[in-house]
Amino acid sequence: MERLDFDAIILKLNDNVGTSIKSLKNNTKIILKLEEELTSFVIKDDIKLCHKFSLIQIRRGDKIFKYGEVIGVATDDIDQGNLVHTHNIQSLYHNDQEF
Amino acid sequence: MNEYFLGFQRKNGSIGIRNKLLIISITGLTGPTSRKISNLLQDTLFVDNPYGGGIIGEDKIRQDNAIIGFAKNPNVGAVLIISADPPKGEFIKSKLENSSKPIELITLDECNHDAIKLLELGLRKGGSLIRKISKIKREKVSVSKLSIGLECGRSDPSSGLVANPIMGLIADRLIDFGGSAVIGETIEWLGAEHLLEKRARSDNVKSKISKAVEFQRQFSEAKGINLLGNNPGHQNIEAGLSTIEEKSLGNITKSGSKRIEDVLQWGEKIDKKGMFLMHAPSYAPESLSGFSAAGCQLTLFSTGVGNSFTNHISPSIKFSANPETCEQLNNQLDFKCADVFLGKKTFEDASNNIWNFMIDVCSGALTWGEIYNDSSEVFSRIDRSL
Repeated sequence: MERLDFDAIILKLNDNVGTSIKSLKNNTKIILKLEEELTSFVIKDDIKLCHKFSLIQIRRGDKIFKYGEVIGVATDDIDQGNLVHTHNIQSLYHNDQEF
Repeated sequence: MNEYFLGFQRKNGSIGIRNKLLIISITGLTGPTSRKISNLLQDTLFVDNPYGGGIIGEDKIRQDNAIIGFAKNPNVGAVLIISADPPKGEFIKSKLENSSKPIELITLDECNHDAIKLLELGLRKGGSLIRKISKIKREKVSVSKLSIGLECGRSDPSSGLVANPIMGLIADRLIDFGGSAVIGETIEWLGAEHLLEKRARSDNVKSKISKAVEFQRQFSEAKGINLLGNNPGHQNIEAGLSTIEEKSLGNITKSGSKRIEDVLQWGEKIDKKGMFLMHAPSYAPESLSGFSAAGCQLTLFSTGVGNSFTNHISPSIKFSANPETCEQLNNQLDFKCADVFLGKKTFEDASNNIWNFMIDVCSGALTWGEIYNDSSEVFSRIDRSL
């Protein structure tokens, strides 16, 4: 049986970000893996290896979930498929919280 | 799964995976000469304490305990203590007597403060110690005698997704066989401490975990730093980690799933079986040295983008799951797990393969860190010198 290829993974069902396992190009259709399930998804940014992107529309102030746990808070609105990193999310332990 | 290896049986019942003479300079003044002695002899380990009389209070206790811990590590067959402070030398020597290892103390004072005389004395005494311990043979022993330190450095998201969970599987298996394991790097529990607390063996241990994390958080806040740029560091951020919480959640996966027995201080001896936490700094040399001082014979060390540093007293097995790193660092990574990251192999496969490699290393196979001698042990400070 041929093993199906995938481009990015979601760790837990309630996560709102995925993580790339390859470099991904803007506006391309990719395969997302959540446990044994594969789905197709359109990326809206260039995403480098191991970087995160939003699985849904995220609003400023929303919590970011990975591993099924909170990894920070959005400092800006993030469109579905966009890069999620230090420019648009922040630790809950950051001093001088904007939120 | 193989649960036996060939190790060096020590008189106190501990098992070494190496059999070396530790040359330990316990005062800053004797460091350069001690290094020469070590370089001129075969099969030595060298540890250099750069401090001396100005160390007081809690720092002094921490430093003395680390010197004693390094010397008591089961990989050390004999100890040559070199000191410019004879009473301190005698104190350390007295603390090592119950370890039943051959120990010699030499001082700069007995050489009339002549470093060249000290060099000659060290070569003679050190040579005799090596000759004595070289007769010890390896014997078949169980992995239940192992304590391993678990480290990650220059991490990226592949560490938390793949390399660290693989380490967790190995730690779980070692604990099932009766061994022990430890993770440190307290600041990298922040945001994941609730998951560690759930595994605490008692309310007391649970409270130790939360107090340790809160201490580090308040310390960083009091110093006015934001963790971003410090931890996660620039290399972590460049590689895709965005916050301390994300890094911590990946970090703690290396601790596996077993009950957490206790929270140790930096370098504190592990004298029970099971999974431990060490309340300690997170930068690799300081973190790893805490494991050697605690008596770990071996460390497992995952990296995202690469990290050449390894323990000196206890060999470090270095591995990565990042496909680019695996392609580039052939002479640094003892093991590559990129195929797990890409979904071509299972976590179970990789953990079995690393386990087998670990057994080989325990029986004498060399790690890259040992081959290139990219290793050191350092002392952790918490205060100022007088």
